Amino acid sequence: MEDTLDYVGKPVPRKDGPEKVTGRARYTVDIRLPGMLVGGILRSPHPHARILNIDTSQARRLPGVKAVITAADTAGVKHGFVETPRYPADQDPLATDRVRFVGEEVAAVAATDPYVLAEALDLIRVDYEPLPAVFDPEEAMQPEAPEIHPSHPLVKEPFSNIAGKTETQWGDVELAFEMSDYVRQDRFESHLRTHGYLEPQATVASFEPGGKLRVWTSSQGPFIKRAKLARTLGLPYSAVRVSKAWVGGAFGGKIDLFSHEFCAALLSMKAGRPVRIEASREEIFTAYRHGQPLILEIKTGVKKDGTIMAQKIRTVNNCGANRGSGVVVIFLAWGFVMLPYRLPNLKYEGYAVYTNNPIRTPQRGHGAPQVRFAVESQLDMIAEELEIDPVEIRLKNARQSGERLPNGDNVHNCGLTQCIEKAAEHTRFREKYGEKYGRGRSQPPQTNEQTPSGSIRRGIGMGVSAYFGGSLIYPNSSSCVVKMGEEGGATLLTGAIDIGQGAETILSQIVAEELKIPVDEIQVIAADTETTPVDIGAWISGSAYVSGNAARVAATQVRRKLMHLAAEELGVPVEELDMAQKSVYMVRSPEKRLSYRQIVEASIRKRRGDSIIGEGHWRTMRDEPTHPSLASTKGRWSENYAFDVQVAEVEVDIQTGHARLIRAVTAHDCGFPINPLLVEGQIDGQVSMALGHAFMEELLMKDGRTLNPSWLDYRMPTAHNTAISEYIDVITEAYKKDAPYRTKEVGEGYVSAILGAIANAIYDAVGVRLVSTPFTPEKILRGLGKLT
Amino acid sequence: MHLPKFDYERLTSAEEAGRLLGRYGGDARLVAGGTDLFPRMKYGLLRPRVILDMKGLSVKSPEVNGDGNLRLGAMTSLAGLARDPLVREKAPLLAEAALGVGSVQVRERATLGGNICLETRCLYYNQSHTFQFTQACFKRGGDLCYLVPGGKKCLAVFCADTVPALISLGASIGIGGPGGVRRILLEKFYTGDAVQPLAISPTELVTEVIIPARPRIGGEAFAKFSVRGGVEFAAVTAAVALRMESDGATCSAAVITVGAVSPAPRRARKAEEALQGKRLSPELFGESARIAAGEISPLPHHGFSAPYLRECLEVQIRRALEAVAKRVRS
Repeated sequence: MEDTLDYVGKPVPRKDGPEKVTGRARYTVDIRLPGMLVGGILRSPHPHARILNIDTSQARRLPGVKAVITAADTAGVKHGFVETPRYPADQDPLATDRVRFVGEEVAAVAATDPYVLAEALDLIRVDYEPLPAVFDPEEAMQPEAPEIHPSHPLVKEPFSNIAGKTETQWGDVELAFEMSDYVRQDRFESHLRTHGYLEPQATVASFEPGGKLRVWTSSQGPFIKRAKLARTLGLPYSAVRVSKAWVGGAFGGKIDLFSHEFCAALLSMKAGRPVRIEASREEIFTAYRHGQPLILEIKTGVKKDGTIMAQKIRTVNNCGANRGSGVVVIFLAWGFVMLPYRLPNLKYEGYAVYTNNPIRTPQRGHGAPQVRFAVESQLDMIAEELEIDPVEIRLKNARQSGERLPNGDNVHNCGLTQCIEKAAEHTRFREKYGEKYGRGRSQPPQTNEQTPSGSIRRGIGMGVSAYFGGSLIYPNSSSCVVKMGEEGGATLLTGAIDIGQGAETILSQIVAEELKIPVDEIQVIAADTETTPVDIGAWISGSAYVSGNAARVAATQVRRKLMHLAAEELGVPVEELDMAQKSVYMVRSPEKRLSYRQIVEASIRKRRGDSIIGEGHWRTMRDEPTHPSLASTKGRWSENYAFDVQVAEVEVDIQTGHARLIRAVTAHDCGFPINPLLVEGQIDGQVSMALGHAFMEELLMKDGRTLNPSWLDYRMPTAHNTAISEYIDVITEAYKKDAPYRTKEVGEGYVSAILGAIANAIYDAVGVRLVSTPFTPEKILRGLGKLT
Repeated sequence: MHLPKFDYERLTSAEEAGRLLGRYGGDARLVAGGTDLFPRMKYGLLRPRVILDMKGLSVKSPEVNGDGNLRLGAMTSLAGLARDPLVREKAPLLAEAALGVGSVQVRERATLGGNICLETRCLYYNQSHTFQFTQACFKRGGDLCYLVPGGKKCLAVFCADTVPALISLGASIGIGGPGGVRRILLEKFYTGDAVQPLAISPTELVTEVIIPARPRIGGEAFAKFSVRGGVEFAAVTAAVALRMESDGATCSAAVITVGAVSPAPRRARKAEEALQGKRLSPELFGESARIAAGEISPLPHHGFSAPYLRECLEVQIRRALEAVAKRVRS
């Protein structure tokens, strides 16, 4: 029997909407506790220096100063985004003997008001001995470069400052290049960009009598924060409780432990009063963790018909002053290379290189935008050379359902071919692409300004991307509890955090569906390390799959209990019953029914007071002990892969060099949309984020210092810069009652293909092939030969 | 970031402003919209002991004098300028330029006087210096330039959008001070020294703007180039005003003012001369714009290189001239 879905798959409005748009939602900065102090951080002015002495005596004597901490006050425990035997924790919450980037945290103060705080920070005297610094990763790799940290002991090449290396290969690349009809090598570079979460980083910490540390912090998951806070503070997990506050955007930038969180906690422990630290926007732009600029050198060999034979890829990541997630990106870059297209021979090496820049962290896509920009650009260059159209060459190489990936994963249902075909058809891609120059583009692009169309040229381009949906990184799994209420509604307890992606809404939809209770009558208690079960966190793109299946299992348990009780009460077999509108009814005579309220009453009456509670647990790749090796890529990576094709249409002004995205079409296989409205929101958000990265956003740095640390000068797009965004769903999975579902991710993959699509569209428009992001007016004019 | 502490006085009359400025001198700062002042105070670039708030002063509505001049109160908001029917009729160039500033919210608060008195800008300067760029640059009283290491002077640029428009319209301003009101041509108000860009003393304030009557036949156009197209200072602005012969086709006089590429707005005088007495044509516009790009050397700023800005400046001037030509004809 086909399930009829009432709540899953429906465009249910976000549950948090009313609270947020009416200003009632409580974010971390809204939390006010009695006696709360304001905390702040003293940062390094040097990109690289030895700390000779820190004198806090004057600051401590200042009236209104309640606590001052330096590394000497800490437990001396390091932390890191990655903490594995190969890559052990390497970050001190406060600098010990050296600082390695401008803005590194050196000391922290808690005071009664911001003015006292500022004065106290001014009164801390730090003696530095500046050291030579290096900012460019390829310079930092040179043997004679200043040493930021010793190169990783397992990397044998004579390079300096190697934080980590990922290396893998299959097939025989050199032989495959020999057998190829056409081989080319290109170099692509991406720039430094940041998340642009509107809510600043903020933490309130309150160390309470009895020894419990309460924490509210703007995060992407409370459990990893608790673990890292407890470890660095030398407390048991049970002494730390991280609770929910609403989060105003994160995009990967609020996952791992930040020094301000540690400092707020330690200051509160020292002062015996609550402490709040809110990072200023300038601090976030200059000293916090951004995305990662990658350099990719790609050599690709193809057959005449466009079949990819082999790729040889070298990635260099400007990873900043510590490993951060820099050693993860060089692993992920391999994955984003091999996912969408069949790749029989690969040799991949990726280096994460220490530089005297701020530490890096994931940013939506975590390497995919940089990688797909490079691969998709080069694929178009190849297609042009072979006189194949861009659609054809992508269809030729696209992975198909059931294909096994070289790492042993399976793509299961894969709608990539359909995505390519539908996107091409919807945008009339084949008619538009290259129309100005004839097929094969042997003629130079027409850039004479005196043409009838004025100075605007239009172009169209295509990009492909794929993304994994959940992997194994602490806390690895999700659990949920669903409790029936006495009035027939239900309460969901989940550790998942809603960071604006709609986690609470989709989990409610799933519970609503399993129990046939309206979404409005599902209450959610979320993201509290003490009152809710563990959750994987709003990162690694696993929420809808992992937390969602946990919620489904918990709700299913409740449903079974309701059905069995109803069967008992009505004196009929369970098979003759079904549920609708908060009641269980007999299929053959629907007027015979028991409301959930009645069933809950019966349960308490007959079963020694049992209320009805269900629990559910889920883990991706449940038989795998851990995540794949970051160094060798060996091991399972994910159970679910989403695929997407994005087509960009751009306009380029050949006089000013100004380019803009005017239309984006996203054809995607996200499995199935639990909430189509939220999927559209994710796509729109990613398209606008990508166009910011493509055309305007760039953190300008010189010698480790940030030149544009403000919303004014770091140009995020405004509403009027956004492009028309259209969607084509390619549904390859289904949600069925009583069965695990395999939905895929929608939150990160669609920020990636569009970047390559835009680059290809600019080329289509004006014949300028850009091999570095962002696509600035200056680069385009240079490409047009107008600047000397 | 928090505003530093300061005393606050809310002014009730222009006379009081004069009296208090006389009393506090350089320790006081006037604030109207505050859109430029308060960020700089938050960055720690400015620590006035007292803020004299002009919000209580009456805002004079735009009016046309007997001599046909348009008089604008300095306290008029930029949004108010942009929507005022009289301004749109008598000085559409100014309305157009005002509309390019910041965002809706900024334009509602920011005033004409404030825009005229805007500080020069530089990426290195316009941020707080608590842990980076802590050595004072020229602009902050030191003796170095971060933008051009080894440079001998400050190279911050003057970015106010309305000013090139006003200069091209031949505007003058009234400046009130201890000795009464003096009137100077706006063009003369800018020193070219990025550290002290305005020819005004701490005891004076800009009170009004006077724009001469429009020529009987002529036209104006404003061009602003920025990457985001809003909530952004310009990479380049160009304001063009042409006076035409009675034939409607021959330029009798031209003013081209370029903003955002130097410490003061710049007239492109050779480019203006190239237009004088000539019949308007696309070729002429191209030539004039080329000359302008040759006579003005843009300073690199906000991440834009000098060669790019030179190219951009040429394009913007040419486009402004083309736009004027269309308006003259219609």
